[in-house]
Amino acid sequence: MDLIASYLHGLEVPKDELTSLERTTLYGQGKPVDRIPASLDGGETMSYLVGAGMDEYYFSSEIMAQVEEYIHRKFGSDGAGISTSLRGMAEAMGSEIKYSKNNVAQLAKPALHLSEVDNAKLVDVDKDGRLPIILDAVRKVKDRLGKEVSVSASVTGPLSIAAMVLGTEQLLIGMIKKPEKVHQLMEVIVENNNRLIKRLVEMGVSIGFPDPVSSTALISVEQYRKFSLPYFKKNVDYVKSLGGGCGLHICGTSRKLWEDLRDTGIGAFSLDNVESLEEAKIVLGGTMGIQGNVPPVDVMKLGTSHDVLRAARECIRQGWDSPNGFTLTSGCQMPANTPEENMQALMDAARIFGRWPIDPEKLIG
Amino acid sequence: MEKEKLFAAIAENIVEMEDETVEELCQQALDEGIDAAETINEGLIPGMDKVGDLYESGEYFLPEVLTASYAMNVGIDVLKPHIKQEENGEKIGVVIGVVEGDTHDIGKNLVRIMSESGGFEVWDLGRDVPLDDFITTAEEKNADFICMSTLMTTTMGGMKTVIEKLKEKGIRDKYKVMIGGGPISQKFADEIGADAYTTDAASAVKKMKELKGAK
Repeated sequence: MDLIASYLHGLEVPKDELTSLERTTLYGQGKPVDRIPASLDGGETMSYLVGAGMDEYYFSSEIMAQVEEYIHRKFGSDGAGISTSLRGMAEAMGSEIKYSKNNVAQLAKPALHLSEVDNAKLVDVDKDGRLPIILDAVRKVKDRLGKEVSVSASVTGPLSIAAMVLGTEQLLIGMIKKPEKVHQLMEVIVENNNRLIKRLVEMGVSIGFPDPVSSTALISVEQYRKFSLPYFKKNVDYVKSLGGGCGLHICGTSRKLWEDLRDTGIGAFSLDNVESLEEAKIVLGGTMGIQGNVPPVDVMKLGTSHDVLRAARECIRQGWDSPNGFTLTSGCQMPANTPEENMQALMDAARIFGRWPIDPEKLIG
Repeated sequence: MEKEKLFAAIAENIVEMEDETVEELCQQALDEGIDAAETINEGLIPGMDKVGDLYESGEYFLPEVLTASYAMNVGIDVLKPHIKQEENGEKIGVVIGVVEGDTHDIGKNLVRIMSESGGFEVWDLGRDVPLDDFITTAEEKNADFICMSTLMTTTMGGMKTVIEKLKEKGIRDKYKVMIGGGPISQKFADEIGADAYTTDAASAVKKMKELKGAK
């Protein structure tokens, strides 16, 4: 029987038997579960699910929490998390951000010129920018969903924060012309991230680092090693010293960085859909969990439910036997107005094709 | 210094991203009475072309390209006031900008720089550009191409709107519409009826030359 063709046409999707928390905990211990974990990332682009504009989302811990509740309760996503957003820390450091109803917020004015790095600000996480709102949202999600699902919060990768503090062009030119100034700023950012990390780990949530500016679509491996990796590692070391766990997501190309990531101590790597899960399994799977990577635009937003099932089945085929586990998810943040039936289809793909024990026969299309 | 050696030195310093040396050498070229346009065409542009090659071959990344283009702009600032105005026949005209709602313009700037280096006439509308401005400028300047960029999934729809507006006005066929940016794909380009999509700035310029030839 063609499982994909019969989806929505009589195919019975197996019901979940465990709570998300039970599933991810057992799976993490290498024990049998009902299905492989799968997650739908929330965040600002999903505010439409609860009828809110993105501008409202950014300033309301209640709306942020409602989005996570909605995604978990409606689809059964194995993970709920609040994002500091790519600009959250830079805003706390003085960058001006422009908010609008139907768009992701944008950098309006960088906090600093490269010549002003001496003035880079150490943040107070209880006062500066939207950080207090974000911390409050994490607290709400942890209170409301913490018994059912693993809760996480994102802390932006240090180099991506630098891009929002200086402006990306100025950061990239600074890496060539004034490297010492960039390094000086990175140290301040590391400390600011650590302040946020401390509070998050104390709340008992895990940390996800999104770091789009570290993509090899923008910088070289040497530049990554010089300006990004050492500072990222300081944040990771700090998470671990507090007994927390963390993962990394790099948007776009990242393959040439993977060997370096093995030694960072991160627990999971989530890859963009431009990279190969099969290769990630080989290179990274021995030291960390891997997550990915259904195309967010072409499939999740523009495709049909059946397209989502097909893409997800292929991801499961490539990733399911990764030694430290695999989580099915999209390759990057899903765009606003992604159809809910496609989110349902991504979760159902884990229920249909990721049913434990995995039947490799089912994964061949 | 001999003219050719001077041009070679300018090109080399663009590649080496030495903006101060580029500035000095361009001034020296003016002092020696060398035609400013010739210095741009034989010194700065070959330097930037070489940077484009190095970027395409994966030796240079965005930081190098941006720093080199900064050096080129320093040189152009020195030379531009001295360019003799002359009418150059058939130039490819390009209206370019980042669509409304998005302020990420690195990719767009690269395409502009590469297009200018390729001898195109470029009207850069900047970022967060109201959709109608693409059309009014193209009409006003009698351009050949409308190039739109966005890095964000949330603003992609604006590209489709521009194409629809062109159709409504009955002028869709007057222009080739090219789109690019992080979330854009060939599939999306096909879906909204754009004429071309390329993944990077260097191939964008090649594609435009190709399409213009076919027109």
